[in-house]
Amino acid sequence: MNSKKGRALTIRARDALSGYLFILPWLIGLFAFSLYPAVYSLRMSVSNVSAQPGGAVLTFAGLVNYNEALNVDIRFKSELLADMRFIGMSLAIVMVFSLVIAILLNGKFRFRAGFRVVFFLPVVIMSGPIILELMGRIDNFYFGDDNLLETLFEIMPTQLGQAVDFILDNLVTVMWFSGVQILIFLAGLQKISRSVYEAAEIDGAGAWESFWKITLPHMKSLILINAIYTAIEIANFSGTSSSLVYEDLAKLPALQINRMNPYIMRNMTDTVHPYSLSAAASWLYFLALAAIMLAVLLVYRVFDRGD
Amino acid sequence: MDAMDTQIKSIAAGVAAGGAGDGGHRGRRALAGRLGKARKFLLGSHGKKGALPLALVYVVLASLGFVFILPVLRMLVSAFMTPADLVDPKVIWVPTQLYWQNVATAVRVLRYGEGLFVSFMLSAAPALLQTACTALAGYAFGRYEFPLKKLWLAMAVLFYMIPMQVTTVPRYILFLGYGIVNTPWSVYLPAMFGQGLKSSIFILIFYQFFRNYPKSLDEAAEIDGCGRFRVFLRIALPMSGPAMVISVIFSVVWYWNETTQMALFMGNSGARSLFGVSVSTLQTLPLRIATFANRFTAEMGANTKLPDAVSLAGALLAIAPVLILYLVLQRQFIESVERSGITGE
Repeated sequence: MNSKKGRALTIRARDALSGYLFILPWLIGLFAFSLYPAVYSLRMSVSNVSAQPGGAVLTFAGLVNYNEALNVDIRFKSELLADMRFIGMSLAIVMVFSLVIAILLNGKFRFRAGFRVVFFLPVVIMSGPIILELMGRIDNFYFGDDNLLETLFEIMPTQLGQAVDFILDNLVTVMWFSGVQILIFLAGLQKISRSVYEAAEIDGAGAWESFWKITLPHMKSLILINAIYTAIEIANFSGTSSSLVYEDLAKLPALQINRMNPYIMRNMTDTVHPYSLSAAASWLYFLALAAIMLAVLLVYRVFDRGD
Repeated sequence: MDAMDTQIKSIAAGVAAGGAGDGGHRGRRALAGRLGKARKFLLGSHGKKGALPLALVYVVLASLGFVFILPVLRMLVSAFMTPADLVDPKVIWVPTQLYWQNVATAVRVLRYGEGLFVSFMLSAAPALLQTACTALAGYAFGRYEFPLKKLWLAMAVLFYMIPMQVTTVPRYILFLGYGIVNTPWSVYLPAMFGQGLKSSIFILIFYQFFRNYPKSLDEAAEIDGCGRFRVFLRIALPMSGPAMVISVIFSVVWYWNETTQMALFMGNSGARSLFGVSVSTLQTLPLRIATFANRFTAEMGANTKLPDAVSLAGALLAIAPVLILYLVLQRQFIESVERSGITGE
């Protein structure tokens, strides 16, 4: 922008112009690659789609596809519920696990650098097929099928036993989702000044009180960020790689990782409802995910007010 | 037997005599001192961790770290085991010899050189494109006031929250219309326009970073007659080191590991040329792992059974580049997150 034009415009107008020029590429992308497809997907979910040589033709069909997914298709509901259960459970595990590890890694001790390298491994090895390859072959290395723990949980009340059993079965897999979260928590912990802890110690606070009164309040917003990140990460995670290898899904039940993704991919080419059933399923999935995030937000609010 | 008995007795007597000889008072004080020291050593004191909590930290970290390191070590070790070692219950961690055949087979099945090239082109290039676009947008959001700014920021967050698969189908149809399915453009175009993998996160990181950096620098350069784009290029960008490092490194890693979108948009591409190099397919290394069994059959014939060791060698080869990148840059990984301002001030 040359100086003559600059003088003619007020600073505010110049800022607005520069702002829009800078975000222009992203804005174009937003409309072209995200907003338009989202709207189109919404339209498809309430239409009958027929593939014609010139492209897809949409005719309005109301909530037929939603009805199909919820009431006719036998697999959708069970797979959605399984996914929601998985996301909810792993959310809790990942948050606790990553916070504990971050706090431990934040201390001063020998080999800290080495431990950090190990705990951030999941940040780089987070590829569906690789995880399947590793876990599929190595999982029983951790917990045999008929070990003492398993028998213990069989005696527990069913509901509780199932929950614990689920956690144990998936613990290892779920822990692999916590690399970035540990990194973020650790970065947050570094920002808390040591002097705050020292002052608390002089006033007679132990490690336990320090954790609840200093560490946790400082980590509050990061916990929220991490929780949302985790939910989305798991929701987007795909152990398989789309319709290409849907057959490999036979491996999935043991791992319980994200079933919705392959479901949506496979139904894209459904002969009766091409694309439209997938679209409806994906929006229902989004609603369920939004409900989980809303729950996270509510829990956060309650704790926030509690302080 | 007798001799030993008397020896023990005499030692016991000696200890008792020594204790009495020292005098009760001094002995008790010394004992208390020693106990205090032990207590200090075990439980720690002011500002210094004791041995017990420290040991606990080591035990917890080591046992949990085990979970992450074990599959990787297992993979590493199995990849170099002979078929005989694999079934030998005595050989668990140390192969009897360094056996390269598994790796050699995996290299052949994966077409490793080609896969490496494809993976690199489909992760490094979009990472740079994505960083450029999100840095621009993040700078504008952090630096300028403009109408509807809050709305666009909210859009960035919202579209991060919508699962990828919601827009995947129409994106696919759209790309089919553009004729870019099974070409690298299906990855490059969204990256270039800031709609790549987790682009919103990087926009927010740059936004956070540029919001907190001193504006007076920019203003001084502007007064000196520097255009706004040049200010961004010459002053703001060089200062945003940590945010750039995060954006590039994480983009590379995430693109490298991405398989859903890659499979959909490029999984079925046949032989074509990529930047002047002809390749048999645009499948990235992790995608080649997903289809490893089929590839193995195609390469070795239907009668050869795929050994686990070869699969694991393949997986190792597929993650080796990012693993090495990570081991080399691990300091930057951690420090850049700490310095980028993600966690607020």
